[in-house]
This record gives sequence, structure tokens and C-alpha cells, in this order.
Amino acid sequence: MKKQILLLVGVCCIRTILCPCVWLILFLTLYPLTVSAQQKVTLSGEVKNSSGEPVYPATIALEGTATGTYTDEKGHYSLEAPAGKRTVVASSVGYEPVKMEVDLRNNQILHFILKEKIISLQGVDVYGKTKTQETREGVFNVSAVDIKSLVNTSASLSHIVNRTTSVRIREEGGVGSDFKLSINGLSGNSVRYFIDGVPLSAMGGGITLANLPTNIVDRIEIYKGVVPTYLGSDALGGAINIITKQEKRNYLDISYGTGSFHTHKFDLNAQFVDTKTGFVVRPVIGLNYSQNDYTMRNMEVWDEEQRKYIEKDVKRFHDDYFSFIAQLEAGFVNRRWADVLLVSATWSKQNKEIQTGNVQTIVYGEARRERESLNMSAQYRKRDLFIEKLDMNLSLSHTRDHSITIDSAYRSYAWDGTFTETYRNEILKRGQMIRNYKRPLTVVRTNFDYALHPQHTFNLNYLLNSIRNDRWDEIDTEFEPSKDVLTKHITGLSYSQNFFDNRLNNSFFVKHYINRLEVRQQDLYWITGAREELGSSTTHYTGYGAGLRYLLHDIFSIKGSYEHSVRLPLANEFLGNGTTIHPNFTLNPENSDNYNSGLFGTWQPQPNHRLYYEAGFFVRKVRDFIHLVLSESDGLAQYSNVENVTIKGMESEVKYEYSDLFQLITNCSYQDARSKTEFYQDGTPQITYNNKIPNQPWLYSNVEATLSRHNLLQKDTRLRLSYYYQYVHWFFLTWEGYGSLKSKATIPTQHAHNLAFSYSMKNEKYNISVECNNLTNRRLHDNYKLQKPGRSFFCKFRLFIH
Amino acid sequence: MKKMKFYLWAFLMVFATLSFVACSDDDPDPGKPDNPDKPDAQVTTHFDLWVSMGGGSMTSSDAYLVRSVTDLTQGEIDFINEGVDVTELLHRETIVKGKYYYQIRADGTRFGKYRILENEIEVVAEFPFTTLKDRRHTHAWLDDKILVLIGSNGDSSKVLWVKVDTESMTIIGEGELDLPAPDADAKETFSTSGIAVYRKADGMILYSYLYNPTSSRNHFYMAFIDPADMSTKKIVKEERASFMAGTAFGELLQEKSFFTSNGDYYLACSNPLPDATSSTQQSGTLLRIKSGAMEFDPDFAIDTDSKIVVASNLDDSKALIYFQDPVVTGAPNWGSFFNCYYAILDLKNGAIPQIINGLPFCSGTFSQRSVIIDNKAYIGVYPETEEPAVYIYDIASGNLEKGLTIRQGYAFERILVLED
Repeated sequence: MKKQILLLVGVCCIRTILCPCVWLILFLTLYPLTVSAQQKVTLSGEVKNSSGEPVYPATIALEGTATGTYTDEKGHYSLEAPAGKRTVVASSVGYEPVKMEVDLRNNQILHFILKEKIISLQGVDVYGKTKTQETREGVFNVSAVDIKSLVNTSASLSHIVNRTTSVRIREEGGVGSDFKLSINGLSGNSVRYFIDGVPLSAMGGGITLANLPTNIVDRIEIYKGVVPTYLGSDALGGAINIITKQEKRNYLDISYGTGSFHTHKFDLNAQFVDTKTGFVVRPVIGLNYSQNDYTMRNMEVWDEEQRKYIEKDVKRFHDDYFSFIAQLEAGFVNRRWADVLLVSATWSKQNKEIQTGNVQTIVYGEARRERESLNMSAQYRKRDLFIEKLDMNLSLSHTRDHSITIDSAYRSYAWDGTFTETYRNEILKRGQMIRNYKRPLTVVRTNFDYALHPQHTFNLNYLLNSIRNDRWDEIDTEFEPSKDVLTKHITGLSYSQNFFDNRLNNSFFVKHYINRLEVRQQDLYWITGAREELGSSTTHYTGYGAGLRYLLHDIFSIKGSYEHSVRLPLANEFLGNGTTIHPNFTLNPENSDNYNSGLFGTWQPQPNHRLYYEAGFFVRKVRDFIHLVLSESDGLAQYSNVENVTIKGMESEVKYEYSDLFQLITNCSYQDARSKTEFYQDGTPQITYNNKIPNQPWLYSNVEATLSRHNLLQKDTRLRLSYYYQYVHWFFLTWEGYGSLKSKATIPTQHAHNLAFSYSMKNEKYNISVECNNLTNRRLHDNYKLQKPGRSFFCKFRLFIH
Repeated sequence: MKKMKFYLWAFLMVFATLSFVACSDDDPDPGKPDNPDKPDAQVTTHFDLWVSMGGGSMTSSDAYLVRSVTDLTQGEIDFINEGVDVTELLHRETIVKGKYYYQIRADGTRFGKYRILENEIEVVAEFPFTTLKDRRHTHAWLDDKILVLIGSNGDSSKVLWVKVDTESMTIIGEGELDLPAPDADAKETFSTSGIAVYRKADGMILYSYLYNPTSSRNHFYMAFIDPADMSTKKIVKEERASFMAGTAFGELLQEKSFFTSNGDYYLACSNPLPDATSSTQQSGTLLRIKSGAMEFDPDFAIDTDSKIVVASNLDDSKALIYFQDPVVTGAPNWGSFFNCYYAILDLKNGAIPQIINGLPFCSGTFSQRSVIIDNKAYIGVYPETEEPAVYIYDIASGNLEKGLTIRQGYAFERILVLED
């Protein structure tokens, strides 16, 4: 009996492993048969709820097939289906699914009315294409991450995004640590962040992917190289757009998590809607706290008796992080005069102790940063404004952002927590400082969509981004206060076409940038160039691009896109950070020619098996790259236009799903970034011309396996077990091939294994998750000699009432 | 068509699952063999050549590489898989004595004693050190093992000193120089490092310093310090020059002063040009303190139209000077590249410096590419159109020969002489 069970288990395992391979072989041999001509008809109609309101998004699917679609915001749908007798299922989250038997012979109209009822999310996801997948299959090179299914875990948005193809986040430490995100090899300031199309910085300077509550997010779109005009972006390498949840009903989503290193996380997201008046109120609270007191292994600590450094495992002792975000949004939705009219206030605060410098031999025990922001914003959306098919989205936002760096202790700390009194502060090694920055930010965004014809649509987007830089120091009398103003106007116009029943999509766009700078600070003018740029100056730049996608078949489609992108320098690149980075008022914008090509497809050989793949090639030709360089004269740093870089690379992802039981995703990214700077600034040749850019990951991969079971122990429950593996190949700190190998510093290979277990009851009303990160307790580094946390555990409880 | 599909799928699967086959912690590619130029055991000294490279595209800083050679008279060197990448640990601003480099290392946390070997850095000894800032201090050797470090504190309201026994690598004393405090009301501060030297003739440390801010720089001071207790014996004010040629980095990178064999001390100084539009635009002055004297020689001052960047003793009667001046080089302006030249200054008659014919104009105002040994000056150049090179100047005959060259593409920064 035991043998039989083992045999059965073995067979099941082999089947599970071999299934994709078998299907692949079958696909290759039987593909010509599967694409044989079959008569197709169009099924269309509306989906409404019992109140007569459109249901969006609702899934319309042919039962037992992969054919399906989603309703638009008006509840309309249109689906191309093979002729014959079919069962059509309409479903949406919170509604009872409705099945209707139809005999499809000609084009047919079929309306559905759904009754409200809580249903499982998973029941929806197995049909047709999700919004996430639709985004991925758009004209541009974009990855989309569905956050809904991950909201029960304690992973931050930054960690979730880090599992995406061609995205790499380099963290300096634990929770709340500074991080740098790269897309296709371009990182830091080359990537712009948005929330619902508005720059994320408008919410407050301290709000990032790392501390934004996950339960307000529906999905994240990651645009690689080519960024659509509606984002109003001057991003060089790409953009990340966070799409928030747009529920129509009341709900309360509240969660608390705790874990290793004294980490606590609390999120609240709720909505109250009065359907009669359309009045809506949405409070959001997000809190993160961690002491980050994880063990640093093999740290060198001075032993006075032996008079030498000895290696010890020590705990971090000055790395507390606190982040609080509170937002209240109120207004009206679905009125005749406005689809959305909302005003919101957001207050956020971040306190961060600073434990280390650029390398972990530099230890701080007192220095810290504080940041506080208050944002007031308003949003107005209206479809069919003045004329039919003209939609407008207007948002106004003003943010008061105040950051302080406190570095006033004359102490020198060691990793064992001891200190000696010294004669200079910790970070700058100068006199005491309490440096203040007030950077009020005003953002105005106006977006128009106009469908001239179902096949021809236009988008016009205007973004005003104005930031002032008021700085002063409370102690350092030598620090010169000043006020500088940086204003950007970005206008984008795009024209999109679709032909052959939406199989061929084209998009063409042009962007215009205006940069206006008013310089008033004068200290260190020989470094900053302040005298050369004194007063105000206005400069104009133009960007443009196009994209094409052709759906040959569900299992094989191609796309390509191009953008000549321009990135205007950020305020801190122009103005410095007041501590380690000097201003440079002579900076020019970076520009890049970005090329993407790719292919993708979905193959569903049988109802329960589904394989999605995508692969892409990209080229980035960056000129006038803005780069932080060390100043010869005083050892501090400054951003300069010094480099040309070309990055070529490829990326791929394969996703296999077996029903809603099992999902396996693996992706791999490779990039070859080379210096194209032929000459030094003095005109002499650079030996590193055409050499590989050092100190950046160039080969990395992710594997994600998820097992889900519904109704395992009792009805309306869901069990989810996930395993994540991340691989980052080692790389050199400085230029490869110069100097003996023995003397070259490297950032070692990373193997990170994470496990997550979550269990939901009563249709996700009650949820609990347990996670283990860095399961094997390996020493992980994203940056040179900056250790990330070892093995850690987190537990999270979530209550979702709706 | 089937084949095409097969290759397509095969490629996708292989690429997507590359992680499974690429998961080993591969060792770096061993590449070419390490530097085969082993120093000759018979030679007692060697030269370390420092270059920087890259401009650090998308990285945090330039990379610094060092190669040791025994002969500067011939050959061409490259750094591909050869030499030592010192970027992680060492600054080019360093103290050198005998076989060793001494410095507050690049992370600013320790004072260390290092050797640059054939293909790696040997850390001989280190101890925690935060009294002074890395790169921002001056130094003086009292003898072969006692080193005095001097620099200002964080807000430059004091000048601190530290005595280090470089044999045992211990601090044997530290304190504050008893110099008149800066005028806080006028927002005055001490210069970051100043320039210190030890005068054997009377066993005195000569420490030149000034008070900032820059706008009030029209004089500076020389303090005579007794190294036994580091007390200040005398301070003299000097107004014939505005300030010493180096106020921030001491002589960790460039020689700004020298002794002649009779014990006379020469100090390079600077004066902002009357119509200067930037702080770089300066003329030079060479001042002297006679052996054992406690004041500047009032009868000696050599003024130069060009700015003195480096000053070295050539043969007691002449000095080798590295000047910066667009009037001489024909560069468009003071901040231009290739705006520096080498010349010989006669210390006896103070005549106009004689440009060394045959040497190209150079870039690099933060470099020291010259050493003087055995009646020869080895002068490194970083020219616009040729590869960086070392020229050998015969002091007696005035002959100039081109010696070792460095493959074009590296920024030639420094030559140092060390014992083997």
C-alpha cells in the first residue's frame, strides 16, 4: 500500500513536472491544426448590477475555454468567439456569477445583470486576460504586477517590483533603507514614479515604493524605455505607475504585521460610498517601524589588548526607521457633472537613523534624517466632456516638504556600539550641522483622451512641476541659506491606431519639455557654476517615439517601440543635498534613444493548463549621462554630464499555470552596459571606451512558485504557499580587466530564498500570513560591503470587510 | 517552420531558466597572468606610478591603479590585468616613507601602514583614527619612525596634532596647537591643514597656516613649534604673499616646500591676480627661511607671474617648478586643460623661470609626477596629443630624454619612490 502511494505520488510529481514539457511538444506538433480556420462571431453587450450601474471590471468568458474579456468602465464588452453552443459566464468580484447558454451562429448581443455577493478572486482570474496581462500586451514594453494577490503578505511594493523582469533594486540595508531601482540597467533618477498618473513625489518626498501601503494598490505598471504621454514624464530609462484600487462599494481593509528585527507594519484602507449622492470618503493609514537590529557578520572591531582588528558578529544599533502616512480623500463619484471629483490631504513623516556610510566600515551612532510632508490635492475626471468621446482628467497638488539632516555629535562609533569623543561630526567630518530643506512642490496635470473614431484615439497631457529649494542650517553659521526655483513644463501628444479587430496597434507621440531654473545660492560657485547661471534661464527640449504591436495569434505576437527620451535634471542634481553633494547649475538634460522589441503569447492547450511567455531585446543609447563625480578640490561629490553609455540586453519570462492550483514564474534579465565615452573632458582618449560599466548587476533571475488551494479545511478558505528565489550574478566594483585580479573588489553572487504562507477564511475576510525571508541565512549584498538582513520571519493579520 | 518554432521555444526556455545553470558562485575569470615585472632584488628602490581611469560612468568614482617599476628610462606600461586596483582602500593623497604608505584610509576610519605589492595591497597595521580627516591634514617626520600629523578640527576652530610611532603603530601623543584662536565674530576659521615640516637644524617644526575666509586672505603665518611638547615658540606674520600654495591637503599629494642641503627652507606661496574672476587665477611667490632662523628671510622673495603648483629642490641652487598659467601655455583660460608647464627657477638670482624645452604642456593641477634622484629629475607628463610619459632631465647637463611611456587612456597622476 505504501509502495502504491509512493508510486502514485511519484507519478503525480512526474506528471506535474512533465506536463508543461509534454504540452510544449504537443504544441509544436499540433500547432498547425489548432490554428485551422474556424468560424467566429462577435458577442457583445453590457453587464450591470441590480441597481442598473455598470459593473467594471467584469469578466465575460466562455466556460471551459481560454476565451474571455473584460468590461470597460461603462460595463460594455465585446468578445470574439467560435460559433456553436457555448456557456457564457459573467462574473466580478463581489457578485454572484451568471451563466447563460447560447447558440452562437451570428453576431449576438447578450446582457447580464449581476447580483451582489462576495466571491473568490481566484474564481475570476482563471478566465480570459486580466488587466495586468492586457497592460503587458500593450504597444509598449511594459511589465505589470498584480498586487491584489500579494496583499496578504508583508512584502513591500519595492520587494514585489524587484521580482519583475529587468527590474533590479539595490538596497543598502533593511526596512526603510535607501534603495536604487534600475530598469533595463538605467537606475536612480532615470526612473520616474507615478501614482495614478501623478508624480509620486507629490504625495510627499519621503513616500516611496518601500513604505506606501500595499492594500491601496491594484497593480503596478513598469514601463521600460518608452513611457506613454499620459504619464507626463521626462524619464530616461522608464517609469513606474502605481494604479490604486477603484472599488465601487464600501469596504474596510486593515492589517497588522510584525516580525524580526522589531519590525511592525500597520495599514488601513477604507471606503464609504453613498450610492444615492455619490459621496465617497476614503481614509488611508500606513505605518512602518523597524529597529533593523539584524546581525552584521564578520565585522571588524578594534581589540585594544591585541591592538588589532578582530572579526565579530555584531548587531546594528542605530538603524531605527519610522514611517507614517495618513491620507483622507473625499468627494463625489459617478455624478452627471463629474465622474470623479475628489479632494485629499496627505500627511507623512519619516524618521531614519543612519547606521553606516557608503561602506560598512563607516559606522554612525547619532546621525539621523527626519522628513515631514503635507500634501493637498484635488482631482476631477469627466468622460464625454463637452463632446462625446472626450475624456478629461485634471489634478492639482501642492506639497510642503521639510527634511532635516541632523549630524551634530562629535563622536566616532564602532560596530560594538562604543564610541570615542572626537572633533568632528559623523557624516561630513566637519562642524555640527542641523541642515534644513524646505522644498514646496506644485504639480498640475491635465490629461485629455479623445476617440475620434474607434480606431483612432488621441491623448494630450500637460504636467507642471515646480519645486522651490529653501535651505538653511540651524547650527552651521558658514552654511549660506538660499532659495532656488526649478520649474518643468512637460507636454505630450500621442495618436494611437488600431486595425484588424484590434490586432494591430500603433502609437506615435511627441513630448516637449521646458526647464526653468532660478538660481540664488552663491556659495561654492566655482564648483556649482552658480555665477555662470546666475538669475533665471529657460531651456526647451523635444522627445518623440512610436510603438507597434501585432497580435498574430494568442500564442504568438510581436511588438516594438522606440523613444528619444529626455530627462531633465532633478532638483537635487541641480541643487545638491546640502551635505555630501554640491549643486551644479550647468547641468544639461540626459537624453537617450531607447529601442525595444519583443514577442509574447499565451498558450492554453487544455482548460486547466496555461503557459504565458514573453521575451524582449532592448537597446539604450544614453548621452550626457548625469553622473555623480567626486570633486577634486574638496572631496565631495557633484552631478555632472560626463558620460555616454550604451546598454544592450535581453529579458524573458515564462509563466505556467495549472488551473488556480499552481503557478510557476521564472524570468531572467541580461544586460551589457558599455561606456561610450571616448574622451576625457580634456580631450584625451579614455581607456575605458567600450568597456563594461562596473558596479552594476548584469545578470539576474527570479523564480516564483505558488501553490493555492481553495476550501482546503473549510468552505470559503484559501491557502497559498509561495516560494521565491532570486539570483544575482557577481560583478566588479571598478572597471573589469584593469589591475590584477587579486586586487579587484567584487560584489558577490546573491542567492536569496524566501517562503510565504498565507491562509484566508470567509472569502478573504480574515487572512493570516507567515513568511521567511533569506531562508538559508546567506550573507547578501546589493552594494559593496553593505550587508542586508539575514534570515527573518514575519507574520501578518489582515481583515477585509466589504 | 517547425524548426523555427523549435529554436524559438528552445531559446525561450533556455534563457528563462538560465538561473538554474548559472547559480554557482563562479570565481572571477582569471584572465591574463599578473604583472610579470618582478622588481630586481639588487635594486633598492622602485617607482610606483599612479593612474586614474574611467571617469566612473554610472559608478561612484574614478578607479585608481598603481604599478611598480624599477626603471623609468624605457618601455611602455599598461594596466590591463596588471598593477593594483587601490580604489577600495587607498587615497592618492598619502605619506610615504621607506617601504610603506601611511594614510587615513579611504573610508576615513583608520590610520594604516600599507605596502603595495606586485598585485595586492598588504595591510601591515591599522588602528582606529578619527582625530583628523582623511586627506585633510599635513605631516612632518621627526625621525625615521615618529610622524606628526596636523590638521584642523571639524569646524576649523582649533588645530590638532597627533604623534604616531610608525614602528609600533601607536599614538604617542596628541593635543591642540596653542595658536591664536580665529576671530569668531568675523566668522574666521583655521585653514584645513596648513603645511608642516621638521627642521633638523634646530629640531623645530615649521608650520605655516592662515585664517579663512578666502576673501580676507592677504597674509599668512608661520609658527615655530617645539616637537617635544608641541608648544608654539614663535609666530611670524608674512604679508609678501597672500597664502601658502597649499592650504587644504598639506603635502600629501604635492610638494609645496623643500629644504636645501644647508638647511634653508623654501615655501611656495600664492597671490590672487588683481583682476581675478576665479580663485584659481594666481601668481606665485617663493619665500625662504634660513637655516635655524625664526623668521622669513626679508631679503628673499622670488615672484613668478605663473601660479606655483609643485615646487621641488633640484640641486640646492635651482628648483623644479610645475606652474599653471594660460599666458604661457596659450590655453583659453585658467580653468582649461593642458594649462601647466615645468620650468626651472634659479634660487640664487631669482631670474625668470626657464621653461624646460621639449616637455609638452600638461593637464592636472592635482598631481605630482616628478621625483628627483641621483642628479636626475624624472618628470612625468600628461600631454594632449601624446601618450603620458616620463622624461629624464639630467640636472648637470640639462639634457632631456624621453623614457617610459604609459599607454594612452589613463590619467597619469603620481610618481612615488619607495624602498623595495
